[in-house]
Formats: sequence, structure tokens, C-alpha cells
Amino acid sequence: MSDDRADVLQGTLDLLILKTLDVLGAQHGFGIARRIEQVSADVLALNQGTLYPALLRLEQQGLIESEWGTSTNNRRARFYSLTRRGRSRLVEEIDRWHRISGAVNNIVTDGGPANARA
Amino acid sequence: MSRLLARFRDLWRRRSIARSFDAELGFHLAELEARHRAAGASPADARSAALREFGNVARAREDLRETAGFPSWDEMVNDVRFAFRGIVRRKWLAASVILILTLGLGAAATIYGLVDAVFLRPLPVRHPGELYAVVNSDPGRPERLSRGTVRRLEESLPACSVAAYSGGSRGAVQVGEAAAAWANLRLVSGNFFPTLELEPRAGRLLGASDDAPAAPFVAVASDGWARKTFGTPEMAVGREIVVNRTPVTVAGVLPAAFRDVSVGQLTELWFPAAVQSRLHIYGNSSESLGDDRPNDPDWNREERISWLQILVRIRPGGTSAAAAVDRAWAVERDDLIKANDDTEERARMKHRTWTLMPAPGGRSRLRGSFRSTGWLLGTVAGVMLLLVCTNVSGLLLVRSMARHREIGVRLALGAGSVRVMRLGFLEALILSVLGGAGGWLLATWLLPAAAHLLLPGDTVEVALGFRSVALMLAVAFGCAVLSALAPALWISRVEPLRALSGSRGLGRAPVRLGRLLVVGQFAIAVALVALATALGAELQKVLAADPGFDRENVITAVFDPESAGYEMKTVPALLDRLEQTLGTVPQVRGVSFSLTGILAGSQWASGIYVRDPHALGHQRSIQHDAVLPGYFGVVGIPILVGRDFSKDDRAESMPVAIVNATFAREFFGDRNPIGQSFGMDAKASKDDRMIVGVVADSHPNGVRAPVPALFFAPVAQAGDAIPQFIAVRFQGSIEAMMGNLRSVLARAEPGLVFTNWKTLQERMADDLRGDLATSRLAAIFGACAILLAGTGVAGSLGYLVVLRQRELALRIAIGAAPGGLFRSVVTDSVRLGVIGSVIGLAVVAIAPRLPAVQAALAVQPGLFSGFVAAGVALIVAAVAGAIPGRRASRIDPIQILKSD
Repeated sequence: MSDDRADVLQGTLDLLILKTLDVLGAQHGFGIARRIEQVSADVLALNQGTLYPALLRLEQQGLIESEWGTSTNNRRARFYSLTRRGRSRLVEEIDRWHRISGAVNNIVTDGGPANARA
Repeated sequence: MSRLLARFRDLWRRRSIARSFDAELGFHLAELEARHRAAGASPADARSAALREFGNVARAREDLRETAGFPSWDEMVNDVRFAFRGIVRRKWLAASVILILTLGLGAAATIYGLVDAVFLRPLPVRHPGELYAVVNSDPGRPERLSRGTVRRLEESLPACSVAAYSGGSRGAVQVGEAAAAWANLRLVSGNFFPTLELEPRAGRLLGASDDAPAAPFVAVASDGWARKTFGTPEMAVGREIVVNRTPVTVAGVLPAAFRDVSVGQLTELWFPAAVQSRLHIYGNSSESLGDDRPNDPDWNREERISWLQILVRIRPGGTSAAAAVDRAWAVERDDLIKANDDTEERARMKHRTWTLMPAPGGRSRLRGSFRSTGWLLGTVAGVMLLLVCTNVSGLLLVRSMARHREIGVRLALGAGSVRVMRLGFLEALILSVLGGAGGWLLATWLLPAAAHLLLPGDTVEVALGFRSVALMLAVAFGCAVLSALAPALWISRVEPLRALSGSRGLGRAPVRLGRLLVVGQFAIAVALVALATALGAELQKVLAADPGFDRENVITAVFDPESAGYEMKTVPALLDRLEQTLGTVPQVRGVSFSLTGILAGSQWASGIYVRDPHALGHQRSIQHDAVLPGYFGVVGIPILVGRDFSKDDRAESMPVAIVNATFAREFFGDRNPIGQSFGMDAKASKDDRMIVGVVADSHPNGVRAPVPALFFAPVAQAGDAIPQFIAVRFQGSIEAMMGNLRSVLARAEPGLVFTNWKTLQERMADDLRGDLATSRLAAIFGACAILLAGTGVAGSLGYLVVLRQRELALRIAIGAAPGGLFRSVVTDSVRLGVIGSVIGLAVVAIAPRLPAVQAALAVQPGLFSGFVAAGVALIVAAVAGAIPGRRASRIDPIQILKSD
């Protein structure tokens, strides 16, 4: 593992999980972790242990649901999937993320509104 | 919100969540491992790489736990468990704390139950908050209205918003062949039940059509009466009963919860107001007689008789009805003014106005008379609770201090002082809740007894409802907070290092406070016990003193021939018949009658003019009674001078009177009163009575009341007076005679009801019931105060012993005998008892000289009873001191001194 991998930003883990489940459909914890690391091309280092409390929290909020099933290599695994409420929350969260990341982008990039005024 | 619910749900399935996480973890790690193996790592390397990649497993598990439940909850559960263990470990101390709390909280709940029953509980009708009573602007004038006013008010207000009812009265009720019995009655308007929105328990309730002049006679019965008489409410419906010799049909039965509109009364039969004169029901009324015309005998048709009280229901959106009451009353007022010749009274009536007052609980005279008792009891309960809290606090403080080392260790190990304090609070809370539960149980047992003692005639329904449970919990919680305060304060000052080395901090301030408290409690206890013994002794003396009549061998009862339907002119014959019939009972030695009798609750008085110009007084209102010849012999009042009445003292012969010794003394001094005369008019007339005899003094009104000046007239010469008091002199077994008496009377005069069969001795005890109640209450509270003082002593001396542990240990180490230490602690305790007792005795000696105390107390506790109380207090002090004394004598010097 290289040192230039970034930790998942505080507060974005929920968004990543919801989006992953949206794309993959029902998936187990390991699959979610793999997918996040793969899609981010190993830029994001996920502390995989933090995944499970986050999954429980989302389930408590009624955004995802889970059931036990069998994985591709025939092992028992718990599969999580999005609920309707989770889907609509995902839309809100993506929108929010765009606004926040856009704003952060504007601040840190040259040519943003701040520089333009100077 | 749903999040919170989910958390709660997960809280209960935390185990399954942990299990399922372990399974998921296994899968996750296996997958990671398989990936590393596939990349060529050895099994061991693959395993450790997987673990590394996953991160901190313990941390994940902990986070999960935290998400699943409430972290502080876990701590709390642990603390509760720990607190329970602590309580069980010191079970004697816990038991005494619970006992104290049980007593204090039990007394509080009992008193609350009484106050609730009398003052707070609303009528058991729909929407009681909509009910209003009417009050007028003249203080002291009864709030009664004429039937006409009620009718006019009903017309001006929305339908079914006026419930009118008469004062309570009694009637003779006969069911089937059984002898007549007295029942409590009320007359109500046709709108009464519809306005209260009551639903029948069985049958139907009265309506407007029943309250018409020619309607058939119907009645509604209370649930209790229906059950007592017919077995079940359903069986009462449609039955015929005879009320005051008139057949009446029972139309329905009320729900059991509805006893009356007025707390403290129990009405058994309800009739439409229209039957008032036909059923001969005469309750309380204010009647004005005018010179212009006689009053109508039917109260329903007479404006000059005010006899109905009302409750007005104002439904949501309705306006106040005070103006309507004023308007409706105007006609009654004008008629009353016409009948009245007192100009002052007429002016007052002209300006009288009516207002409405919320009355969800109806109106009750009991409330007025119980108010001061209620306040007194409330104060006592408050003081008791405060004493309970301080004593429990003292005991818990000693307990915390005895655990100083343990607390020091906990603080040193990093437990927050808040958490340590919370533990103390939890212990106090657990003890309080247990004490509260005990108190509640005690109250369920105590409340009926207290109600019997303090409320008249067992007519108030007392019950501990949901509100009392809530209150109990609140008070228990308050006690816990208060009791945990001192120990918490102490803990906040504990410095772990010093505590571990054996120092205890906080010093002697609480000791002084505690001792002051103990002394105060002993003083209160001594004063209370002195009062109780004085009351008891005085009661014994009163009961033992000669009341002036024969209390052993005379049994008495009251009856009412008039309401039982006997015509005035048949009464003398009735009395003769009764005398002869009762004469056949073997134990009976004599029978006689009088109008008001002895200790039977009624009095009769008139203004008289004494004709003798040398008399010591000339005009006064004097109590009198009308009796049959032989009455004095039957009740055992000796004739001192002159003669008894005889059959020859008839209506047409010369009016005569017999006076009592007080009358003779007050009017004639030492002179012979025989032959003197007096009359009712200012000038001498042919109706003047001549005094023919003097009887000894007796107490007809109350055992404790002063003997009144009294004269007796023969019934035959007392106008239309009808005797209502029967006295039977007997010899032998009272039980055997009562059986015979009842059956003979039921056979001879089935329509006539005799109630309250009591010997004169029993009437005396009844008369003193209020004083007995006060005396017993004082004794109970005195005992509680002594008990509390005892625990207070144990607590505060216990603290002292803990504080002096090192000194005591040193003394034992250098050769002091443990027995000596024991004695010194007990001596200390007794010293506190002595100081408290002396203060209590001083209170006993001084308080009776204060006018306020003299007014409130019937008796003044003497020093003797004070000394008795002080003796008891000293014994309690010695016993209570023995507990910390034992602790002191068992100190192990090596243990204590080792900590230095």
C-alpha cells in the first residue's frame, strides 16, 4: 500500500456505500469495499473495519436493507441493497456532494471566482 | 424518530448483531485472504495481510456496539447492577432505610389519598370540567333556590344545562314483607341526570316526564342499595318498594361510581322533585312566612321556599350563565321581599347577585370542615418527609464514608467523580423506589382506616389511583435526590490519595448539623407523645366521669313517625302501643320517649321570660326537651326536688316544667325554684309553665360540652312536638335483648324505622370520636417521630464513629476496653436524647400557655405525660446508640492503623 492513498473523507462514506449499492445492486460488505477501492483506482484507502458500523447506521435509518445469501464462491454472506428511501437519499447526497466539491474546487483552483476578482 | 426506535430495537438484539458481525467479519477476512493467496502469499502472510487491510477489528466491534445501542446505557446498567450488589451487601442498613422511607412515603400517600378524595376528585360524570355551582354575594346565605327560579333558569339556558337537587333527607323504605329501613333520599329535577350526562347501570334514569305533577311514582337507586336490597342492579329494575308508606317503582340503577353530587354523602334513592309533598320528603329548606298569604304545602309551587341547589353545565362555546341566574331569581326575590318585614334584610336581598364558580367535584360541606384537618395533615406529611430525607441522607453518608477507601480506589483508577456520585444517587434511588413501593402498600392498608377515623360515616370513597402512583414515584425520586446530596457533596471533596491513606475530609460540620437534627427530632417526638398520652388520659377521665345519666343499662334509638306516615293525632296511641309491645321483651325494665333525647345530635331552644322579679336572669334562649312521664327514671337522671310528670299533666291542664340543676342555679341561685313560672311571651299569660321539679345535671349535647340550663315539658303540653328518641332500660344480656327487640318492633310496627340503636355508653364514645382520632393520630405521629429520631441518632453517631475511627483504634491499641468504647457511644446517644427530651418537656410546659395552642387543643399535656414520653425517648436513644456503639467496639486497630 502506497502512502499517497487518501483516507475516505469524513462524512462521505455513506455516500460511497449508497452509490456503490445503486450501481452493483445487492452486495456484501467485502464487495462494497473492493468496488470503492477499484473504482477510485486505489486512490481511496478504505479502513474496511469502519464499513460495518456505517452499514448498520444506514440500515437503522432505513436507507438500506440486508439479507443473508451465498457469495459467488459459495460462502454465506450478508447482502445489502438500497431501499426506496435510500435511493431518494442518494439523489440528495449526490446533489449535495456536487455543490460542496464544486465550492471546494472553486476555492482551491486558479481562475475561480476569488481569483477573478483580484 | 424511527432512527431512535431502530436503535432501541437494536439495543435488545445487540447479541445477534454482534454474532452477525462476526460472521460477516469471517467472510470478509476469508475473501481478503483468498485474494492475497491468489497473489502468491503464504497462508500466514495472507492472513496477516488480510487483517492489516481490514484494520482494527476491536475498534470496529466497539463502533458497532455503540451504533447498535446507547453507550451510556451500558454504563448505567453496570452501575445499577453494582448499586444492587452494594445494597445487598449491607442489607441491614438498606432494610432500615427502606423502612424509614416506607413509613414516610406511606404516611404521605395516605394523606394524599384523603385530600384527593375530599378535594381533588371530580364527579364521575362526563366532562365534569363543564360544571359550575352558583354562589351569591351574601356570605353565609345558603345557595338554595325555589323551584320557580330553577324553572325560569331552565327556560333561558340551552336544553339540559341545569341540574337541580334538594338537600339530603331520609325516608322509611319497605321492601316486600321486611321491616322498613331508613334510606338516604334526594329529590332532583327532571333535567338532573340528562345534565350530568350519566348513563344508567341498569334500567333507566329519571327524565323530564317523571318530574310532572301527576306522573307515576318512580325512583332511581344507587348501585350499592340495589345490590344490598335485591342482589344485583338488574334485579332491582321494575320492582315495587314502599317509601314513606307510598308504593314507588324502581325505574333504574345508577353506576356504582356515582354516590352523590356532594362528597361525604351517599344517596340511596333519587326521586323526581315533583313528588316532594306526596311522598312527605322534607329536606333542608329556607322558608319565609308572610302575613299576606299562607305558603303552598307543595314546595314545587312555592316561591317562598328555597330548597334546590343547582349545578349548571356550560358546554364548549357557551357563555356564562350568571346574568341568567340573576334574572331567574328576580321573581323569587320580589316575593321574598314581600314576605319579609325586616328592612335591613330586604335591602340586602335587593342587592344580592349570583356568580358561577367551577365545580367539577360538585359542592360539599365536608370540604369546609375538613380543610383545616387537611392542612394540618399536609404539613405533618411534609415535615415527616423532610425528616425522612435528612435521616436517610445521614445513613447514606455514613455508608459512603465507610466505603471511602473503595471510592478512593475508583477515583484513582480514573472513574469520574460524577460517575461515583451517580452510583450513590442510584443506590438512593433504588432504596427510594423500594421504600415507595412499601409506602404504597402501607397506604393501601392505612387509607381506609384513616378515612374511617377522620371522615364522617364512611361515605367518602377513598382509593389510590394512578395519580397517587405517579406522585409516589415523584416523591421517591425527590427523596433520592435529597438523600444523595450530602454523600455526593462528600464524594466531590474526596481526594483519591488522601482517601487511600485513610483521611475522610468534610470534618465535623455535618456532625453538628446531624446532632442538632437529632435533638430537634427528640423534642418533637416527646411533645407529640406527651400530647397523645395527655389526650388519651383526658379521654379516659371524661369517659369515666359521671355523665349524669345511666349509661350502662339504657339502650336508645331515633325514629321518625311523621315521615313514616303516622298522623299527628295517632302518635300518642303509637307510643302507648310501643311501650306495651316492648314490655313483653323479658329483659326490658322500662320504655320512654323524648323529643331530642341524649347525645342524639339534635337540639331545640326557645327564648323564655322568667316571671320572678328576684330572679338572677329574666330573658334568655334556653334549650328544652319534651318527655313522657317516667322518662327520667328510664334514662337514670335522678329527680332532686319536686315531682316527675304524670298522666294528669294533659294538654288542657296547667302547663308545667321540670328544670335541671343548672337552670335552677342560674335563675334562682339558692332559692327553691318549685312553684316559679316562666313563659314564651314578654308578658305573663295563661300558657306560662310552672316549675314542678328539678332534675340532676346531665350532658345531652356532648360529653365535653358544658352542661346547659335546660327545661323539660310533658309531650302532651308541647304543642305539635312528636317524640323521635326512644330509651329502653334493660337488664341482662344486650345481645339477646336486641334480637327480641328488633323482631318485636318489626312485627308490631313494620312501617316505622328505628336507627342507631346504641347504649348511652356507645353514644358517649361516638361523641368523643373526633378526640379519639386526634389522640390516635398524635400517638401515631409521635411514634413515627421517635422512630425517626432513633434512626437519626444511629446515623449521626455512626458518622461520628467513622470519623473517630483512628482515634478509637489508637485507644484500643493502647489498652482501652472495647466495652468502654461501646459505653461511651451509647452515653453520647443518651445525652442527645436527654437534651431533646428537656427541650420537648419545655415545649410541653410552655406551649399550653400560648393562646393559639389553647384554642387548638382540647387538652393541655401535663408534665407527667411529658416525663412518660421522655422516658420512651431515652430508651429509644439508648437502643439506637447501641448500633454505632457496636461498630466502635469492634474496630480492629491493626486494620485501621495499618493504613498510615
